[in-house]
Amino acid sequence: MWNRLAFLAILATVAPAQTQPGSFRVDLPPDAPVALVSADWGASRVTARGGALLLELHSTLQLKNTGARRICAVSLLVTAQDQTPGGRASVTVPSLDIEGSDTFPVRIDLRLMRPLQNAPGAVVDVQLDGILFEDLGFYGPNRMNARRSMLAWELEARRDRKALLAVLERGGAGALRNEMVEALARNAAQPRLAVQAARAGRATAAEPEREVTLAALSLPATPVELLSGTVRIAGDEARAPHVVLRNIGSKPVRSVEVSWLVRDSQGREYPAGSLPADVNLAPGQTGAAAKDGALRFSLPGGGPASLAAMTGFVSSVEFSDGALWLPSHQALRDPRLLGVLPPSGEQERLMELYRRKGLDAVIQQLHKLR
Amino acid sequence: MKPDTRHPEPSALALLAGGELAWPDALTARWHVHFCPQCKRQLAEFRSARMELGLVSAADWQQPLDGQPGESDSAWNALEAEMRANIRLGLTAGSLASGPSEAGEAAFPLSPPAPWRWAVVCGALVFVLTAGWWLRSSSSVPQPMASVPAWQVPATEPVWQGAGHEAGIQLLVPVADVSRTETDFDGSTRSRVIDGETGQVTLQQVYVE
Repeated sequence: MWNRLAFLAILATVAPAQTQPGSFRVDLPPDAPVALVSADWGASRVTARGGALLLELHSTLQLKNTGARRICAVSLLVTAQDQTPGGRASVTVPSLDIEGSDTFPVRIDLRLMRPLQNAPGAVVDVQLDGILFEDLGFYGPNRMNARRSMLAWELEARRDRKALLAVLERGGAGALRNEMVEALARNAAQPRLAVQAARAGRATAAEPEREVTLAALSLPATPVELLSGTVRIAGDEARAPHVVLRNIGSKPVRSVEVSWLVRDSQGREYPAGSLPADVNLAPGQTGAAAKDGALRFSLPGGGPASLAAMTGFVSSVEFSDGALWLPSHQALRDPRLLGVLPPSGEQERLMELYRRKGLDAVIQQLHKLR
Repeated sequence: MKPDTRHPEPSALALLAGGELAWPDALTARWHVHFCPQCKRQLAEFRSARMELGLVSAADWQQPLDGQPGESDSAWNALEAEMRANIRLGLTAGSLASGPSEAGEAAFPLSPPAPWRWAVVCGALVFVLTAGWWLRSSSSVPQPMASVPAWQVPATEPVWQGAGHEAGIQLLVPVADVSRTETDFDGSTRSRVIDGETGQVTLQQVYVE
């Protein structure tokens, strides 16, 4: 009886939200170098899931560069509820080349959660988190560390475009085509695991948890060395990674990103994401970074992966002055990484361009973004 | 191996004489009879009685008492129609021989399992195996590439009806252009979407902390 009453009450609360998705607000600062031209939220919808609302957002915002500087990346913060897990998201569009007064689209396809209780204000709030200009200057509140991720993408993209341009200039269009075909083949052949966040601390008698020493891979010229690390492995789950890092460079370090490779019991290696960590290391200083969570890995067919070992390496370093270190193109062609590491975002974008529009489109992009 | 010192029930000996005792009991009884003159004599009496009633062939009688009863086709064909009466006779004789206290116990017809019962058992086994396979295959549906665990969803009541305790909800909308998805240890997920037409890249990240 009470369950039925509660269900009716939830329906009554949610029904208006389903028929009228409520307000979706795009709030850009008046002095921002971009302005909203249009926003279409028509395909978005709101449904109840127990004690929470599930917001499925589908929208394309049209933004205009109102400044004079060329924009090469934009990051928006999309908030349904600040304190709710799954209530905040960011949408970043890198690899742009937007001149002043040009418009460009930002596509949003997200699911967010918020409590069922009605809160004042918009159901979804979209704010500007940051803009990266062509000269690597930055504008924005940077609440979700958008500057770092956009800068890393842009530097990585410039590095990879430069390497492809070198191939083009050295060997001509044929060499570039071979490079693209090889990259596509590597990407298609790369083994992948599905990763899901798992409840930490779940251990069963059938799959005893064991602490595994992390295999540390050191890339050339890295300013931060991965000294040691451990991770707890139980069957298809990896938990609570702990790494010890040392600043071997000459500049103070603000944060690092450690990337993972997992090896299954049959010896196959897979990329397994990364662990960004704020460490604040002075030159010569040693520090630790740890996470409490757990990840569960499953095979493409859905069966659980059997984890045997993990390898970690420092994949990016942010210095205190805001500068960023990334591994060189040559370092990433290390036989241990080639074929295991996923292609960078820019490599993947150019591969897609080659696949759909051919080599000329790639060459045009390389020259345009030189 | 020593013989079983407990004498078989007279009813068991009667059934053994007719070759109707279940095989595990028959094995034990034959082993006992082989060493026990008393039971051997009683078994001979039962067989003699059956012979007088015309239920046992001479060939059967010539067999050792602890040996297998004759199973010639002609004997079984002759006995087939009288099988139930044969069993009842053995049970009744056993009851009479064991005294008045057991004489009143109702004798019940023993019949071999009908073929349709085996069919039912086999059918049930096939059903159980099929259901097990189906349930297993439906539970191994590929998990979402990236999700927020259900226990982190703000719930004032049970949220996921009919889902396992590890169930989650996918936060990144499965759009066709997603090229790569990653999940952090804290449960945050991010995906890389490449628009096939324009080549524009969109990075979407959902935070759970």
